[in-house]
Order: sequence, then C-alpha cells, then structure tokens
Amino acid sequence: MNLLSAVKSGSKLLMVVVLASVVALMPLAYQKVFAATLTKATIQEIGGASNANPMIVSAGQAVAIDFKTVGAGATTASVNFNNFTGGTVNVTQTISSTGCTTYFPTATVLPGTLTASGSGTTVSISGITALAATTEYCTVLTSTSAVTNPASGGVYSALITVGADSQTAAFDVLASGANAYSITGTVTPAFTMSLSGSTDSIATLSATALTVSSGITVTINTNAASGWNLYAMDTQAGLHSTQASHTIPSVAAGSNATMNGGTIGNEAYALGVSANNTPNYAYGAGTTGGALSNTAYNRIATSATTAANVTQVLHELVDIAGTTQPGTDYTDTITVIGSGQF
Amino acid sequence: MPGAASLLIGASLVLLAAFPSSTTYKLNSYSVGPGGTNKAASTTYKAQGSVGQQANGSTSGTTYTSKNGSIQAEQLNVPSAPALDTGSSTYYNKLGLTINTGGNPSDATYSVAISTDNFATTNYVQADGTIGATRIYQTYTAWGGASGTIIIGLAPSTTYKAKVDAMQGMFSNTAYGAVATAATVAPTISFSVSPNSSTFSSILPNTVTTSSNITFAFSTNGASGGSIYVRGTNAGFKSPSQSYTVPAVSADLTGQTQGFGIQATNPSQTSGGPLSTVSPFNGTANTVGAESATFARMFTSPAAISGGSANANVQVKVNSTAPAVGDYAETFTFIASASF
Repeated sequence: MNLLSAVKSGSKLLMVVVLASVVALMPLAYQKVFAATLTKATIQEIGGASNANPMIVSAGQAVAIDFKTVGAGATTASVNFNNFTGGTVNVTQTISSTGCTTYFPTATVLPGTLTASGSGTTVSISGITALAATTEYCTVLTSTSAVTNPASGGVYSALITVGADSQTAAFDVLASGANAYSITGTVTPAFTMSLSGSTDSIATLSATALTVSSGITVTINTNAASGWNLYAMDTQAGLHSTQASHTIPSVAAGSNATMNGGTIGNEAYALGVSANNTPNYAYGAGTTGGALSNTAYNRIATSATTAANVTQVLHELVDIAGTTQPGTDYTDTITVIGSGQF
Repeated sequence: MPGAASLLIGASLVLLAAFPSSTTYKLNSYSVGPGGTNKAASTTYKAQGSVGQQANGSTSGTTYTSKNGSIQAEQLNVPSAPALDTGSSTYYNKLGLTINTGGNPSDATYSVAISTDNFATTNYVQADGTIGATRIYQTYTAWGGASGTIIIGLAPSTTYKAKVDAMQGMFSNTAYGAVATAATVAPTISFSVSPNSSTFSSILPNTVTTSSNITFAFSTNGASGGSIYVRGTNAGFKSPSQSYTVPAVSADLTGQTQGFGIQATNPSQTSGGPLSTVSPFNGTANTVGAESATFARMFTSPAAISGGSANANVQVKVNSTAPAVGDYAETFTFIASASF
C-alpha cells in the first residue's frame, strides 16, 4: 500500500513513505560482569587420623583442595559442600598448605596466614595473600573430620569459590573397604646344612699331651623362626683300632670333660664344638669336649634364631696312656644331622 | 508542471499520467506503487515493512539504506535453530555450538543469544566462547563454521537455550530463529579397586614372587583428568609375630637380597585420557615402587577419561633368614580424585 500525503499548497505534492524497521542496538553503557570458571578444581578426601578410611562412607575426612585461578587478587575462598546429602561439615576447621603438593605436584601452596571455619555446608577460608591470575594453588583442610561422609556411597560435589570465580568439583565416596587391598603370604621353610669335608685328620696321639683334630666346619642356613639344632652320633663310642683291637673310650656322658688336665696320660676321647655348642660339647679353645654315643644322637649345637651361613667347627680331642696299644688305624665315624625349628 | 517539485523522506516517487483533484487539492503527479504488507512472517523469514520506489538518489540512516529502482529492501533468511552438542552427555561446564546459516550469504554475521530461563534473562555468546552481556556478531566462519565452537563457563546440570539471528552489512538483522535446547551434565568421577585381598603363592627365599593382578577402573568428565594414589600400612611386608618386615623398596628386586613393592601396569581407556603410570611405580619386570605411609601418585590422566582401566601387581623377595612364618601382610589403600 502506498501512503500518500497531500499538501494543501496548490502546486506542490509531497509523498511520504514509511520506512522499514530500524535496528536498535543494545546500549553499551551497562555491561553485566560475569564471574569466571576456575579450572583444575579438585576435592580429594584423604581420610581421618593416620589417613584411615579415605573416601569411605560415614568416615571423617581431611580434605585436600586444588584449583587454578582465572583473575588475580582473590583473598578469600570457600568450599560449599552443597551436594553432599547425608554428609556434614565441621564447624571447627584447621587448614594448612603443607604437603598438599604431594597430591597436586604442579600446584603452588596457598599463601597467607590461613584460617578456616565451617558453617552449614560451607567451609570458608580467609587470610589468603592475594592470588595471582591463572595460577594453580592447593591447600588441605587438615582436621580429620573436616567433613564426615554420608552413609551412602556415591558421587557428591562441592562448589569451590575463589574470589568471584568458582567451579563445581565432584568426588567419590566408597563403601567400606572398597579401596583397600590386603596381601598376605607365607615364607616357605628352608634349612640347609653342609660340611667342609668328610675326613678330619688328627696328628699322632701322645701320652704326654692332648691331641686335637683339625676340625670339620658345619655351615647352617635356615629361616626357621625358632632356630636350629645339630646332633651327632658315632659308630665306636670312642676311637677304635682294628689292628690293636682296642678302643680309646669316650669321656663320661652328660658333662663337659677337661681334656688337658688330669686326663693327660689317661685314655679319653671327646667331641668339642667351637660355636653355638650345647654345654657338654664346649670346645674350650681346644681343651674340653663331650661324649658321643653309638646308640643315640646327642645335641651338640643349637640356636634360637634364623641362620645365614652360620658356622661351627667340630673337633675331636684325644688323650692316650703310656700303655695304649699302638696302631695306625684308630678311627671313628661321626654322623652329624641338623634341623630347623619352624 | 512549472514550480512543481517532490519532497521525499526516504521514499521512492512514482508519477502517474492522470491528475486526480478536488475543489481544494490537485495531485499534480502520483503513482500507485507495488502492493505489500506491513508485516509478513513465517518460521524462517519476516518482512518488516512495506516499500515503494524511488526515482533517483538514495536515502539511508545508520541502519538502513533505500536505493533507486525496484524494491531494494533485502531481508536475510532467519537462521534455523543452532546445533548444541553435549559431548555425548559428558560436558559439565560447556556445550558445543554450530550455527545453521539458513542459506545466508557468506558475509552474513550472526549473534547467539543464550539463556537458562527461557529468555526471561538473555545473555550472548562472546567471540571467545564465554557468556556476556554484549551481543556479538561474527561470520559463520568465525563461529567455527561446520565444526562449530565451544561455549564455556557454563554451570553444571543446567539446561541452556540458544537462538541465532543474522545480519549483513548495513541491513537490518533478522529475527531470532528457532531455539535449541541442551543441558550440561553433572561433574562425574568413578573409581574402583578389585580384588580387595590376595595371597602370595609360596614365597621361597632368594626368589622374586609376584602377586596376581589388582584391577583399577577410573572414569571422569573432569576437563583436567585425575589421578590414583597409593599408600601402605607397614612400609613393607610385615610379620607381626616375628616383628620382621621385608622392607618396601623402589628397585629391581633381582638385584636385592630382599625387598617388597608394587608395580603399576597396563593403563588404558575407552576414550580420552590417556591414563599413564607414574614413577616409581612404572617399572617393568621385577622393578617395583615402594609404598609408604604417605599417599603417592600411581596413575594419572591429563584430561577427561572414559573407561579408564589399569593393573598393578605386588612383588616380594625374601632372604634366607626372613622367618618362615605365615603371617606376613601389607595393606594398600588407593584413592582417586578428578580435576574439573
């Protein structure tokens, strides 16, 4: 439709047409300031006393917190556990940034003389030294019951606010024992015994002096928690010569005999053990020993602990009389056995 | 007509052959222009006014121009609803946005209005993807073209509506097109450990013994990913009856007379991540990391991760004097957090 406007001028004609719409721009005089979103917003529950039961239902928790700022200058922060149904926030809070980088190695400890307090669902943090922009910070609500988890497991969240900026962080609460792993095991019993040789040599016997053999070393290895024992038995109950048809007898059983005193010039045969010996078989630096039996094993050495290459030397000690029959074949065969006490 | 003249205000003038008149008026020249309507609209276009023809010159204001000849007023197509992407329902603080041009020319510009209350309150997507009060027009290409762009700084678990209008050069912008709706999700984290107990097979002295696998599952939509941490109770493998502990070590057990530790293995994910192992738990073969009473990072992901999975094993080597008893034990505790 054409709009005509007639002017009463007699000779002039005006035509006016309505224009199309005019776009109106929003005035720029007023611009609303929008808060920004933190990044790296993190809630890490680290458990109660001695970090017991972290992330576990119904358990008190210390909480490590991390965030990365957007702008600079914030001196306060808060954590609003606004999605924590069944959980509680402690009114009394303690805070420290010490150790938080254990959890957040790229963060800077939250600076300042920090204080924290709880009210409702919110923990408020103050005393922060003005923060830098785009910087990651961490801290720890150190009370072992800074928050107490709900009785139901699930994903909960809290709003971390630093200055005017904020971000919601989720955290997981788990059933009792869900994040624990216990491993047990048994160390297999082990016992080994070895001898340094099968033949022990002894010098020519004398009626005027004690003669002691070179000795055989017995080595023990065992993880027996209660220790080990060595036993010995001989075949002759003494030192025997087939040629002479004579046996130099063992000392009396049941005691530790002195071989270099009154027995000099008298026949006597004994076994001495250099270490870990039982009392009757004390070696006495080559002067004493105990009797072996050819009918029963006698315990000659013992220990109450495990052994790693533990050694003891077995020596034979011999006294003869001036009337002892000569022979070159005086011999005894000693059998040594050992066992661990597991 | 002597003295006749035409005074126009932003209009076109058509002269007719006849001169209607009354006793007091006489139209010296007139024309009947094209018909039209002062308002016509459909779901995708709207004509804002009616126009005539202008014989010469042009008339313009700050936001419009009327030119010579036939009808010059031009209306861009109203853009249809934009596409909003929730990242397969993983976005908790952002949404993907792709403009639909509606067939407009390449130099058309678009603004995006966004609201959480059905436009009782209206904000606008800024050029950097944030939300602001300023209405920003930029080309389809600047809005990311077919790949779109990301609107950031959104609140979790919130439904957003967005609509687009178009403008070209000096011409008026269109009305807003249809509204697209999408919701951000809640931030999420999921973590589990299995099994919760195990027993070594027989531990022979001077031999490395390895446990069966521990399995971890970890997922989060946290933009900065997350981590799994470990601590131990005994700092080693302890027999309470013997007061004897095979110490936790960070070492290759084959070269040790004895030692105990844990090894992280087989990190993987369905998407995102990637999940990776962290020293000293990232050894191979018989190299383990020592657990202590302090939590230490064992696995980490730098970004959101879905279907994250990993294993760990525990290894021990005892010497010949570690007491042969059956009450050796250690308890590990694992925790996890996500970064949003």
